[in-house]
Amino acid sequence: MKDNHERDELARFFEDAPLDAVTKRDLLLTSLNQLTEQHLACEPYARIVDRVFDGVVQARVLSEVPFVPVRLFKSMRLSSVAVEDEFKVLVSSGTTGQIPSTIVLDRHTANLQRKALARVMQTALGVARMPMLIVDSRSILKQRGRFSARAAGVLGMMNFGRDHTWLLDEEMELDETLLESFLQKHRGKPILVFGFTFMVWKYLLQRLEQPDALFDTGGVLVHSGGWKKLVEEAVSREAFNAEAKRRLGVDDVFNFYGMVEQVGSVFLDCEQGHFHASRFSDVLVRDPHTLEPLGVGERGVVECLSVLPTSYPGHAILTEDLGVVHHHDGECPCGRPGTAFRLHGRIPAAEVRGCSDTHGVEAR
Amino acid sequence: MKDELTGRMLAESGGWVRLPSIAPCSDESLDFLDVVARGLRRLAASAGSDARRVLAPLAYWMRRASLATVCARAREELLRPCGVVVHIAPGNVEVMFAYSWAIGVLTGNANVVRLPSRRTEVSTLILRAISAALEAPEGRAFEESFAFISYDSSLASVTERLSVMADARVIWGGDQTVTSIRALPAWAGVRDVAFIDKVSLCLMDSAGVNAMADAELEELAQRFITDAWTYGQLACSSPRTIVWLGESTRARARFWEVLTESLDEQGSQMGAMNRFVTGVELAARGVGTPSFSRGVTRVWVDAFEQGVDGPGEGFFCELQIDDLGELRDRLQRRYQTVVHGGFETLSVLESAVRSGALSVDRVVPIGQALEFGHVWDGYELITHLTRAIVLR
Repeated sequence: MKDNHERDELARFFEDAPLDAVTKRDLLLTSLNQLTEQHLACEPYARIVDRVFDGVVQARVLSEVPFVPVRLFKSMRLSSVAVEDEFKVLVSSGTTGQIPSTIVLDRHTANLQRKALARVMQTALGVARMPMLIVDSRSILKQRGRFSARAAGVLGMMNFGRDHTWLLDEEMELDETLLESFLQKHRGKPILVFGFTFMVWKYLLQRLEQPDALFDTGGVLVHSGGWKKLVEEAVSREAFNAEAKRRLGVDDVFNFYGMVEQVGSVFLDCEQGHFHASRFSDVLVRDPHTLEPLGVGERGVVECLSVLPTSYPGHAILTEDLGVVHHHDGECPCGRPGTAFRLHGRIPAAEVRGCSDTHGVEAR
Repeated sequence: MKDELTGRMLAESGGWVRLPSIAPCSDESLDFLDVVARGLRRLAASAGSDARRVLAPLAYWMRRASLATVCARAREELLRPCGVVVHIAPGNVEVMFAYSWAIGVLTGNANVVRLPSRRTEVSTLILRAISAALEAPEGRAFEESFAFISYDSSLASVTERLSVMADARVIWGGDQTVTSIRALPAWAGVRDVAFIDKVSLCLMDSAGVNAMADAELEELAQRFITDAWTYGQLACSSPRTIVWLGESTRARARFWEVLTESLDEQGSQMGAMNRFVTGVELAARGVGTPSFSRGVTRVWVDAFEQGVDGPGEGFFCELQIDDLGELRDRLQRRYQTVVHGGFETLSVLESAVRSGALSVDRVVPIGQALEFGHVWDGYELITHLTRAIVLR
């Protein structure tokens, strides 16, 4: 009975009909509460609910749903399903090779993630698969056993394009011959370009020298990975988008925010420069010191809510990214639904102090 | 003066430093350090509050009156300096190099102090006070007897050269630094004073804390904040664990209420996140039950072994014991300081130390965790940096 009920609730998120803000919020709360209850099967998570959140399973508002810090997926294996139901275990390191996260998926969750991602990406790309340029090197797939977040990101996106062409070699050099033959082959068709923000800027946009746009029939650039390195080079979002449109000739540029701990519920930015929660997700911001929820306009730590994780307790994750919610669901001037927010980098690393440290002047 | 010691030293140090012609614990060194102390006190007065907080105790400790008591016993013995003492200073307990250097000067040695490459307000002010003191008449005897150097970490050959010239090495910086310095070539007779990674705890007598009047408790909390929050709780001697002796419910509630009221710093955002992550993880593992408040996370654990050192900036594991004997064999060799509060007399602590139950390097009242002394980590530094001569 409960299984059927759960499926009913979840099915609503996959229906075609739009979800108005109030309906979505109520549906989200019911679904997240169901997930909290369901994940009590994961013993460490049950202890967290009990010891950190006073045993609150039925939250009254979204901010009351027990949340797990994202780093916990690096130090613990959190699963709510029996070992025989484990379908895939994502082990993904961060982009700079930190400790990897371990995410346990059953078939059900993997399916939900796939379907949800397709649904979200369709809003940006439409249904037809475009010929696809990848601003990266195929060599990132060679690392066996463990996926980098970079490889996982590219693989996820590859589903939305065809005739995938990797533009860079291992030294991050642009393969111009390959690019030329790709363009010849696909003349007259819109093109999908995907890559990490910094790499798109540095290894593609900055390398293109011809005055004309690369594509004759437009296309879409999707990029991800954060602005940190571009802020260092004083490149604004506006400058990046203008350059992409001028150099590549794409019609649209989308930045997306997502994490391996919540595959499928990604956030795409709008022309206002705000990320939007999709119908499967929501976002709230907490005070970094008290973890109390903050209001619109206040900067804090971003928490991501998602109805997709049914096999592991990742339906409410406190990230280490800083952000600000700018508009409630349905209030962004761009007209798109979903809570609209911006990111402001990661929480700055604390200064290393203490006696067990000679400040890098180690003998070697 | 050209005895064998200085000859070897000069040859191998490339003439950086020479041995001052003074005996260990001499009036000359007490006078010179007193000039430095007075300079420090002046500089501290106009420095920022963070700098003042570490410079004032340094200046107080370096006064003639204070160091003379340190020297009292040594002056009855026939001592000679070791020679060249190489100090590998720690990174961010930035004031430590000055204590280390002062002990080296006091013992009549030549000193080379390797400083972290990053200069801070504190280290700049200390170096200023020392150079000024060198210009004073009291500084004449110490000209060219010490050097402060810092260099790029990639220059391993420099560190090796320092090691080779050393008659004694004072190595701060924890296990990793100690191991890497010990792996370097050195004179066979080199003396090492090695400060390894250590942690510290706080021991509270529940009944004693409970009996305190509000004002007394407030003062205790203030002193505890100094111990635990200076250097982001990551100094070796800052308490990370609080052990309550005897039924503690009420004492704990009172202590934390007063403390969180007095705590005016909430630490960094990453510090808060680190505390939260560690607290949640200990809950998930079934180790303890965390409670979070602004600036402080504490985790109540069942057993001493289950506790963790934590990420600093206000993270404490707490537990209760009924008898100090329960700590026997649990502290291992990595505990340095016990700060204590609420004990009416030292006798219970003394018998725990004598029986080996409290196997640590220091047992001091709350508020004195960071007060440096010439006995540190179990080393009596005057003895370790001098040679005792038998004459009969």
